[in-house]
Amino acid sequence: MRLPEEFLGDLDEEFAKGTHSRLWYWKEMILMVNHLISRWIVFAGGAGVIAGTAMATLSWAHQPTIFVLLPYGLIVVATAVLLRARSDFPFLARFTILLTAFMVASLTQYFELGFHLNVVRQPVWLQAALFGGTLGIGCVISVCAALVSGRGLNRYLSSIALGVLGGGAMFISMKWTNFIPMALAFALLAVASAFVLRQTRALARVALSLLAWTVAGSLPLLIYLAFARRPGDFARFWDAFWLRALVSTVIGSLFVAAAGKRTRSRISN
Amino acid sequence: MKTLGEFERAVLLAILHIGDESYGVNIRLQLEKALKRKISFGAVYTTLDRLLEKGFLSSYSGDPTPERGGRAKKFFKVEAAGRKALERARRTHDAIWRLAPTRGTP
Repeated sequence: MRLPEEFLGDLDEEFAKGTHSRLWYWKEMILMVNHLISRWIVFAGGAGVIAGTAMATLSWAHQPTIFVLLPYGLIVVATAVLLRARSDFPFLARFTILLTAFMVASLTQYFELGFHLNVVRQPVWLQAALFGGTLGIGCVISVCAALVSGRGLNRYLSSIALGVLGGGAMFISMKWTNFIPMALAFALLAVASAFVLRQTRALARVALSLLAWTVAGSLPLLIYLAFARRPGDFARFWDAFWLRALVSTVIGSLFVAAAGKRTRSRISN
Repeated sequence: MKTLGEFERAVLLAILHIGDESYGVNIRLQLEKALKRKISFGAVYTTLDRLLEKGFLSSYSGDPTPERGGRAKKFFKVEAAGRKALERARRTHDAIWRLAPTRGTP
């Protein structure tokens, strides 16, 4: 990253007047760096929320496959494009981008399911229902996201939350198991993300997002334990799940907090 | 249709007000005077970049000067698209204010 020459020149000229302290000089420099990287913070924020969710999902599903990450990645990119475009993109463009992303994501999920869960061996009507169902969910979510993606920053942030929720809903619709805990966890993450991103205090952002991710990460564990029947279930689940859930909790929290910082920066402009 | 944010409008109007000497230092100074608050160079340059991307502004480089560490000034000029966008924003603003009840109206 390189600071613009004209900015450095302006800063030197202003500082040479002798009306500002050295502290002011460095503060201006840091603010400029912050502005330059802010777009990437937004991208990292969106990516972090969804990647963290995907990591947690992989832990819960016990089926780590690269295909699971593809649809999430696609939705992250689409959301990032929309965020960057802000109000420059007309409604139709935003709608089309999201719709395409969700439809392709649905297709990827379908093929992932075919490869790993042997759905292709199921009756045709069930395959059609699964495919249609995921497409339907994707479309409904994308319409909602497009509708709330009107002018105003908070609308866009809400679309991230909807994106997370939509990705989660599609994933859940394919996995069959652990529906209620996973749905609760995703809903909690989505609501918390939307709420945390609106906060202004750094400590509050970190604390709230950490709490949300921890509760969301613990939900499936607690429900699983409540229904565990065989000896050794607890130890097995702990070993496989907890460390990855913890990592995703921390990563998710940091990224959400970073995205929240971006929100404040944009509003202050 | 490309729209203008509040700060973007302020920057465009500041450049129109300053005229030929519109570069970072002067624009920031003018904005601080008009808006009566501290403005960072980062905020000014981010907005200038956005306005350049939208085609509302054009820029050209001046000569390097010693007090700037040998760096050239970058001057900004409002383009026709920028003037039109300002006019649109003004019409919208006026139309909204006409909705406000005047004194004596029930």
